[in-house]
Amino acid sequence: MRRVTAIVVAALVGVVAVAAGALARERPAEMEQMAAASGALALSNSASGAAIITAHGLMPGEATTGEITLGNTGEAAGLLVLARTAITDTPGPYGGRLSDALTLVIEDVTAPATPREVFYGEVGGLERVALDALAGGGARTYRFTVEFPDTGPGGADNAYIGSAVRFDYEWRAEALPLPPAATPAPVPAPPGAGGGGGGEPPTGPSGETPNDPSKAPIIYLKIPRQRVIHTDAVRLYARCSSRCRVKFSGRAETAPRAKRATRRPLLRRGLFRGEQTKRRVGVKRQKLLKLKLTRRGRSTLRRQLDSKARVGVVIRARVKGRYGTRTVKRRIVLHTTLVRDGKRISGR
Amino acid sequence: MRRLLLVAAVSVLAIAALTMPASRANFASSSVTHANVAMDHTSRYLQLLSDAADTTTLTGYADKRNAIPLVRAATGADDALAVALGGYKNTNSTPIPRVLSLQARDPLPAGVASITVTATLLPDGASGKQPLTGATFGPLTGAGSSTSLTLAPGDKRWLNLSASMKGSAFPGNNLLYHPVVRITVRHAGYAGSFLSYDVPVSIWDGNGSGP
Repeated sequence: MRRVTAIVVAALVGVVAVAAGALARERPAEMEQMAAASGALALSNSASGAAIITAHGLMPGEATTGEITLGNTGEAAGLLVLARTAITDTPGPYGGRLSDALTLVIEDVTAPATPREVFYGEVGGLERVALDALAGGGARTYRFTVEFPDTGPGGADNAYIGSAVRFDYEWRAEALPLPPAATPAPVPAPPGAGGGGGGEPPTGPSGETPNDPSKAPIIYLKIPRQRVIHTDAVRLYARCSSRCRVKFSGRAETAPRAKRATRRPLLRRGLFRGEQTKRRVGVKRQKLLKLKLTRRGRSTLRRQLDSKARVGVVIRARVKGRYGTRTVKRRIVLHTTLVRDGKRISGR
Repeated sequence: MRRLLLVAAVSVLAIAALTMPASRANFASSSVTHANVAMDHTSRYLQLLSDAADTTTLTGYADKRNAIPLVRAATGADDALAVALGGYKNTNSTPIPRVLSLQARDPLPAGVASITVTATLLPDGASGKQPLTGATFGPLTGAGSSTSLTLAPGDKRWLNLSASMKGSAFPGNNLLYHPVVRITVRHAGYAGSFLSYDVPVSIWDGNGSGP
């Protein structure tokens, strides 16, 4: 019996000894590098819990700005991400939702002499945008400019009288996974950035662009009314939230008037010329793009317009950026002749 | 004996597996912030008042024509002010004085010494017809009227309308028209048309006062 007890005690001592050894043992290389961030990635925010912008009594054509500085008080580099978490619209007496009308520009003004635009678009259009890598001890300053565009006389803006909106944002710094080398990867400084410790975020651990649609650039497409058959092309304006390359493709389908009717595909691919061509789209300015119809595409559209007077065109934009790809679709309907109030209106 | 050794070995492996990945690293950090934006509001500059909303002793507000019992044409205040003029079937241009009163805020917003107010008539949205023929501003007492006026803080005026429902455009077949009176406020720092009230008006082309 004593012998058995001694063996059990010896086994327990062994267990404790091995467990203690495991705690003190050196971790694998990758784990060790992540531990460089252990308790060390901490975000400081000059407006934490407060408002970046508080503007009352805004008028058409007016803009309001606010600045915020984000710092990484830790030692490890992190990728700074801005995400909108909520929109609270309070419509005015005439029912306008202000989030539909305001435009937002976010600029990196860490180097005030050379501000860098990182987002431009409708305020409601910002969902999540990956900004910059923030090195340990570094900081970046961003300027938010919210503008209510003046649409001119005629009372189009008057729906927004007395309306208000609140946007909630979350700033998040996520630890950048380090390459397997023992020394941490250097964070390159952005061109023109005078300091602050930030820089362009690197790609994934193995150098490839990670394919995460939520991190891909946001593309803004505007398709004005136009005469497509007359010009043999679809013209559209495009702009990205960060520099991107876009591949456009299109398909033709029926466009029945009944909302629940099934749309039948007429031409699944090859509607536009150069569908494999990547087009560069910038951040600062809308770019006018012309998607020329192929001969086959044109005849398909014409045939359908001749027989049914309506045809649908689905334009697919595949956006590729540093962090991933995103696919956006827009559908337009071409009419031969539209009769409204007894007047014949030709158009898209 | 072997069983004991086996149990001990399994225990060692389990403890080692639990302790090995126990990193308490902070791989993310976040903070929140927000933005508040509000557009300007006409009521910061000008009040529109009906008899019920007017707390002063001012009298003489217009009645809804042909209504039994008589009721005031205007109800509510500011954005919620609405005007029901009553029946004007087969009438030539008829003045409808003192439909509502308007008063400049006292004080006006900072930097605004006075405001200029104008009135524009918008036709009925459904038919495109315009039964209203004019809108003028008049003093609280005495005669005189103007199509635009400048108000200092606290100044108050009447809004007078005129209507006509004569001719083939208004056949008197019991239709209710909904024209709009747009009252626009401008000041030295702003010449646009954003600061405005759209006052909905209803006027009955039929017998009686209408709905």
